[in-house]
Amino acid sequence: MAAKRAAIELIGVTKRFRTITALRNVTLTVFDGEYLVVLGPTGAGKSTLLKVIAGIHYPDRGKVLVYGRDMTRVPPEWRGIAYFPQNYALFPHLTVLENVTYGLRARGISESDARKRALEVLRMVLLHERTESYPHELSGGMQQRLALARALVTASGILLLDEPLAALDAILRLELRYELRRIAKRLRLTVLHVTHDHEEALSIADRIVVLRRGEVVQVGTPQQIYEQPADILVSCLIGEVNVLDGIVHSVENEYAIITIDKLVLRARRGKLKLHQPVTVVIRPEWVFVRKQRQGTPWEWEARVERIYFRGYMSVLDVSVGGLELRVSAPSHMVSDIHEGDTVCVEADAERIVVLPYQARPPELFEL
Amino acid sequence: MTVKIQIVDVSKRFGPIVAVNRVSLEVLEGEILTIIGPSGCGKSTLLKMIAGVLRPDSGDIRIDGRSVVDVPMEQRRIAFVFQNILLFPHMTVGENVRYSPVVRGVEKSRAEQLVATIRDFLRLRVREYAYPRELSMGMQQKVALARALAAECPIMLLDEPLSALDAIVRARLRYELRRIIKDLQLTAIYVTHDQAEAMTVADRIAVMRKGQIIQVGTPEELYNRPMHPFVARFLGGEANFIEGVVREVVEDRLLVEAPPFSELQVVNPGLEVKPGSKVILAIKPEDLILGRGVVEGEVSLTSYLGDSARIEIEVNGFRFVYRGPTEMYTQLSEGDKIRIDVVRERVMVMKYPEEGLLEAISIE
Repeated sequence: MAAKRAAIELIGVTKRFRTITALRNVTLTVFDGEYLVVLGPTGAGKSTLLKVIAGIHYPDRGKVLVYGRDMTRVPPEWRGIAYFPQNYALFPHLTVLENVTYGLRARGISESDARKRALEVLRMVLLHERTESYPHELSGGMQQRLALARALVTASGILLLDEPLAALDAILRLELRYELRRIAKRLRLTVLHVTHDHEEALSIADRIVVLRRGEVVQVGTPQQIYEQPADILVSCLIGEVNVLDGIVHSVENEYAIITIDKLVLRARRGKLKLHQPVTVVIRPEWVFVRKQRQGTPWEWEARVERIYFRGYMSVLDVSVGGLELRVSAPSHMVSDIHEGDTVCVEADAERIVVLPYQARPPELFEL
Repeated sequence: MTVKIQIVDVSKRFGPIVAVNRVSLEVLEGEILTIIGPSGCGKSTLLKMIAGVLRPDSGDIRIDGRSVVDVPMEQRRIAFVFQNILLFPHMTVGENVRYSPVVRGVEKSRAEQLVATIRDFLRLRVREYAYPRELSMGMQQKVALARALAAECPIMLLDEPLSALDAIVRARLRYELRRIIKDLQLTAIYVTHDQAEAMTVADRIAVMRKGQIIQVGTPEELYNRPMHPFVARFLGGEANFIEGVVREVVEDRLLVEAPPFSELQVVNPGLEVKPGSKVILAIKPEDLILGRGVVEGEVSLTSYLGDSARIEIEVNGFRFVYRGPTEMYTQLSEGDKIRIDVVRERVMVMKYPEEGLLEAISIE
């Protein structure tokens, strides 16, 4: 990739609504051509962030730069940014095709060119066979895709998407998210995509920004966010996780031996200190499940309480000395394990994440 | 196992639209049956007829062997949980949960015991005196569930109970929902359009399409042995579809010409086909093999999914989805040339649908 050029820069942006601080001192760079996903729980400030970039809200403090130009107080229509809001409106008296060409013709693009581009985009969102329908004749999912097509057709540089797939059936949500990324890359768009869906974020983002209470908690590639979460909350927001508290019992070469009640496990030592209280983050697929003991000191005997067949992966809830642990593995690898069986589980020392002990943030109980 | 709910040849029309078309279905006592299908397939209408909100045009609905078509809703002893959270906003959490026991005149000490049990089951850590609006959506739905459970009905109907919640809350609550319903030994019907949710919650899944049920089975059966391409699309975890023509039938094997693969020898699940018959092959993403075989493609999209990698490969006009260990994400880059093959024994073979493949797997 060529030298990264900043498309959008937020510098110390704060936005308040009466007594609520929706964004607090947010500094963030979105690179040209990047697909950036903003992830956070309801009320984290995700939509406000988009609106500040779109120009719908002006920040109370801080700056918004677009390709280096200060746009902090420039009205939305002068920013050259396409914005797909959560609550979009379609023209009820125009057909699907007319809804999409409208924005193009308003920009003085010829009828035939507009038609050609509109059809291309409608094909991408799988609506090319409904060009003559009116919005009220479409299902909710189709209406949302039509709105998406309308945003995409006029997008030339930067596109802001606020929960673009939220109203769709699960299966369409899954298929269209990859389509969104393909379209963005083909049209060389810079995209900011807001979602609360961690799987959506992981699967299509170049980078993910995690917001919490109006603040940026972590920015990184999907792999970084998933494998090296900055704190417990991030680890819980990005996927299924077991969170356990323990103590660094001893240190052996590059490994730390950690005790959790009566259980012992091994993890990469990193900067951990002897006797330090820690919080251990273990994702379900970071646990090996075996029918037979292998004799390592780190394996735990566990009882399989429940098995959930999930297709490619299966999830097992196991109890280990009073603790309940959720583990998972490709289904074909655990097909001979049944509910009630006694098995051995071992957390993968190379992958589990050990953080200095943290009290559980209150949001965690709401998840 | 005794049959708890029996749906016999039930139909329902709304004007010219047939919402439910001659559906028959049995739910066993203590079972969780999930009905999955796209928006507008008739799944909610079916649920409303069981609840007694709607009356079928024809057919019968039986609970414990007795027809309930003429039994009013409130006498059917069925608890309901909806996508829209049903709580009295002016009542506290405690009052909401105690509502049914109080209305039913349950004796005070027994009511308190019941409420305590439900709270334990739900692992509901929430203040008694909080009002619903002070709680997160996920917590509100849990309280709504507690309220429904306090009615002590043997049957529970759930209509997309998690759809309004944040994805991560949804992901977590579906495990809990199953645990709770199972622990309380309720019989439940659970309507959803979400594959992961259906798979996690259900003992058996019924796939509904255009008012009809096209296959019923355990999550594993539907995932591994779909009888219709629509089932493979809906529950197959992004299965890859290709059309093929049977070249040879050899005992329980079929030799199928299925571009871009020249010839695939696959297991015949019992289809009556002969050389020249058209069939549909569905290949699960995890049954693709990368780096081997004679078919070459180009990596067009790589995704890191946390527990696995998802790779898209374009092969002269076909797009294949592969799923495998996360290392594949690190090893492959967009634009790489790569050979692909399939695990032949695991290719799913289906009858060619009269309406054509695209229509058969269409969602709208």
